[in-house]
Amino acid sequence: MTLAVAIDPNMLEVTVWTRGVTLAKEARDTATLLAKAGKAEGKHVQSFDNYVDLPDRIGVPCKSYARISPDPIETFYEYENYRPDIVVLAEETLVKGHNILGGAKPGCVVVINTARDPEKLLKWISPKENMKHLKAVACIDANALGAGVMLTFDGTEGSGDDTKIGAGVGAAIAGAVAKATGCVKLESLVSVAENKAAVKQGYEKVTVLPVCKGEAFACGLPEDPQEIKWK
Amino acid sequence: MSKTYKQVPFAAIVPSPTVSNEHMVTGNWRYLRPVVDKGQCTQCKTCWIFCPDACVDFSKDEGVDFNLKYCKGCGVCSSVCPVGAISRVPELDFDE
Repeated sequence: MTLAVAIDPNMLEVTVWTRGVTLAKEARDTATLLAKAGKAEGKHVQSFDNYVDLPDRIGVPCKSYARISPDPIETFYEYENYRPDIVVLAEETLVKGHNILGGAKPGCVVVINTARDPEKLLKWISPKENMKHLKAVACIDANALGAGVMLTFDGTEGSGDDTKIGAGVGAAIAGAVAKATGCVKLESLVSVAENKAAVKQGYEKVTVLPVCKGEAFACGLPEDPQEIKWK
Repeated sequence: MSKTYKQVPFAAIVPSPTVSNEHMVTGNWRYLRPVVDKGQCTQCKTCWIFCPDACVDFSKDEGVDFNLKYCKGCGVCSSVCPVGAISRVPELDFDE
């Protein structure tokens, strides 16, 4: 008997990259918010952290995941998103030196928490052979919209943390993801987030750069940013 | 068996690292890069002593230099520098 790996054709896979301790909670919030918003829309969702990363070290790159599908999700035994549709970077430097587009599906969207221009970040995105799958790079200065929740060093690893889901930076990033990809609706995201103003501001202030064949504006500028629609 | 205490190496002194672990490259943990101002640097080697990852290279010609493949950007070097010669610059300000 062989075990077949389930393939969910309509499943959206969201990978949120982050930094250990300083931003780990915010990335988990972003993934959880997107999953909860999907659930509020009646979709099937999963949300979890990477089991291999050790996020209790300051600054270590680590990942959180969300999966949203209109059909029941049969992917239970893959503990990472090997084929991401949406890649979110909770901290801008992660764009450098990480294979953030590894296994990316065609039409992948990258959302970066940065005050820099998306054009300037394009050159660092790797691996280069997956650049043809990249549809857009979105930038949101979420650090200006909310403060990160820093976990303490008392050994409780956040268990005594009583900030609710989506209280800080993660909420603004989730709003930006909703605008840039259309994976969830703004209303459902607002209904599940603690900091509703940050979600709305993130939704409004995101800058989306359409990318085609690895270059900005290679396929011309769409008339309306909303034209970058999801599936 | 019969070594005098002066012949035994001092406990905290270990050989300088000569091999690097290719499976644990930590340079991409860093988001603030240490940059030394060679004009201000007095070559006191305080950063070389304090660096927890032995990422500070020192040579008499070049002075202080950093091994950016393994530097995590913890900032200890810039904190302990007595003359403030080491600054921390955002990693994305550098192309490489």
